[in-house]
Amino acid sequence: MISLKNVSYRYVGSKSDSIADFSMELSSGKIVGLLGANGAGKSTLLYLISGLLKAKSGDVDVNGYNPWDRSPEFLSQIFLVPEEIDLPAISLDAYVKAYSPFYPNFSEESLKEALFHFNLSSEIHLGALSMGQRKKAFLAFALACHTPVLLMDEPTNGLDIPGKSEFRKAVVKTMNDERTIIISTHQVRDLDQLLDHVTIMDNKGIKLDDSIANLQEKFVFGLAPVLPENGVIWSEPVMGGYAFMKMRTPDQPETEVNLEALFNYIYSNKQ
Amino acid sequence: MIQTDNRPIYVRLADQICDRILLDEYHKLERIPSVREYAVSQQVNPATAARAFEILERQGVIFNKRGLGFFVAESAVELIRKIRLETLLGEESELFFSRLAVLEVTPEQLRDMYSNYLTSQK
Amino acid sequence: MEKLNSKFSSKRFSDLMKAEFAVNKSNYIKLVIGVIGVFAAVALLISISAIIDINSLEHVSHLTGRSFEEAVKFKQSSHSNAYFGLSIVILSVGLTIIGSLTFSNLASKRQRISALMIPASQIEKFILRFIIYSIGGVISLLIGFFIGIGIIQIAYGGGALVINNITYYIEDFSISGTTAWILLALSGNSLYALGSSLWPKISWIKTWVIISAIEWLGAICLFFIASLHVVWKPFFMYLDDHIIGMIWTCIAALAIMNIACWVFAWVRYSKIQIIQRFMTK
Repeated sequence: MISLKNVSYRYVGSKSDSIADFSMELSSGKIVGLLGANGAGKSTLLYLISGLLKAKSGDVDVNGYNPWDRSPEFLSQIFLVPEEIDLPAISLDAYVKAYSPFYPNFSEESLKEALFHFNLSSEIHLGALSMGQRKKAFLAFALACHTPVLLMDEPTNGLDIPGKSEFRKAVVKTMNDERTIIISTHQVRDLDQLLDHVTIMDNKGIKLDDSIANLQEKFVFGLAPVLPENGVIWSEPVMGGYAFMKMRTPDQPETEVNLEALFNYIYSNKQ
Repeated sequence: MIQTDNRPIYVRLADQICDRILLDEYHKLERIPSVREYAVSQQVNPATAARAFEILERQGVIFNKRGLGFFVAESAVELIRKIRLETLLGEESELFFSRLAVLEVTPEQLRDMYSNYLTSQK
Repeated sequence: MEKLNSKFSSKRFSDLMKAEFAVNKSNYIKLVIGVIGVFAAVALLISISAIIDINSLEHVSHLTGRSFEEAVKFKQSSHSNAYFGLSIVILSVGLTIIGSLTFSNLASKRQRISALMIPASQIEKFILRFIIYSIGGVISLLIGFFIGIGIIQIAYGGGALVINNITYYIEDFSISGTTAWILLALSGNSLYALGSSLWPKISWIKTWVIISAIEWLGAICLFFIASLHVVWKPFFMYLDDHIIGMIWTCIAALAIMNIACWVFAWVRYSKIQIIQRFMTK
């Protein structure tokens, strides 16, 4: 379980908190989407959870650990896939041999499987790969470490189209009730069918933090040539008509959450 | 005219499994892929896939054998047809009939149209 | 016992070391070859210049009335002195350069993420850097130094010539002088290591600028103090009476400064965040 209680963080030299008095609780077994405009602080949140940044105030707790303590036990239970990956120019074999001893749940078989999905041979040399392939190799390793917490910052950036689909499969395969995966992204379309929880941030803080199931209960998302007469809380013209959002009444059938619409709705509300 | 299916993923997945049963891809009393396998092949969250299976189990279309997985029920095909017919004649037909009524279509015209349709499909 | 394992585990430490060398193998090889190469190049140049210098050998022989062989020995001796002199410079500068690389693994944001997220304790990671760049630096410089000596020995056709020079130096220097010099050289390493912890990127130049600035300030302060004749004369008299004590005070001060550098480097290291005031990107 990941919990943040009244956490604030302010960047050095900044006039205001980039995250202020924020509280959030995530039980395990969830794939969480972290959305927000550029500069909204998505990476900040990931860094606070992984202990790379110290909260100005408040408590961060990840499975009983304070990330800032950076205890080796904590670090072996968390894996961060940053947006830009730092891979040395050595063979994948050597890389895995060097770093897998630090992760007690690492599985050689999972690695082979993930590499297979990503269409990479196990005999590759990291220096000889293209950027997209390097990302895939790193993702394969990250997934094979089977850490209870997995954080990914824009994981589908740089992946080709088959790669995005391979990525989804690999993520779903690795999922279980003890894992929490947080994916920070702009590319909602790559990932929306994977998520069961959504957190939307802007530069003033967290704007929305809810499960997909709850959102399906609360809102109706639609696409129609003409806007419904009443109850529309947000709409936007799209090809052939309008995308819209309404509050849902219990008698209405549930619709799939349109994350882009939700995002735009949240951002258009200057609350 | 925008044709989109914005039903939740779990509903669409359940539908897809029903389609496969009707198309005889999954035979009665045979095992269907597990929740996990389905989630991976469709690239959806396992919880979502689990919800789809839950619906089908509740409807009686599939049943669970502990430790072995999910199986197609004996009378799954009939059950699915019945459910779909109810849905068609229920919510989905409300809108259709209301439009017909506004355009003052008579029951005879409707019957003729349906007969013609069936003939042309032969 | 739990806490002890959590902070330091020999298995984890050896995994960390193996990982560090596996991942950065080519960099370390380049570094060692560079160090040895510098000494070897200097040794070769000196040996060659000694051998080529035949005209001046005849001149020396003629002037001193000694044989050609003796003149050769004399020339070789003065050239190997040059080697020692140059070695001292190389060692001192080399220690600062190696010191400035101590935290080069934290230079970019990407590298910091990798380095900080490795599941080992901060102290293990810190000690590893210390061992490689302080102890390892000294050892590789010494290896380079002795390889250079070996080259000169070979060029001079063997003989105990160069070894003699070493014993000469040791006899000439007192223990306190040698200790002081060693600590001074190590200070270069420690200071630049501290600089590396503050500014891991383009560390050597930044540290050099700050140290030079401090030295300039120190020199200016000393100048003003020196102009106070009242302070100066008694100081010199005190110095004459207590020279041995003064040297050991300096040695103690140097030792403390070395330790302080590493302590401050540790404080800085243990609090490192992915985005810091002193670091740019």
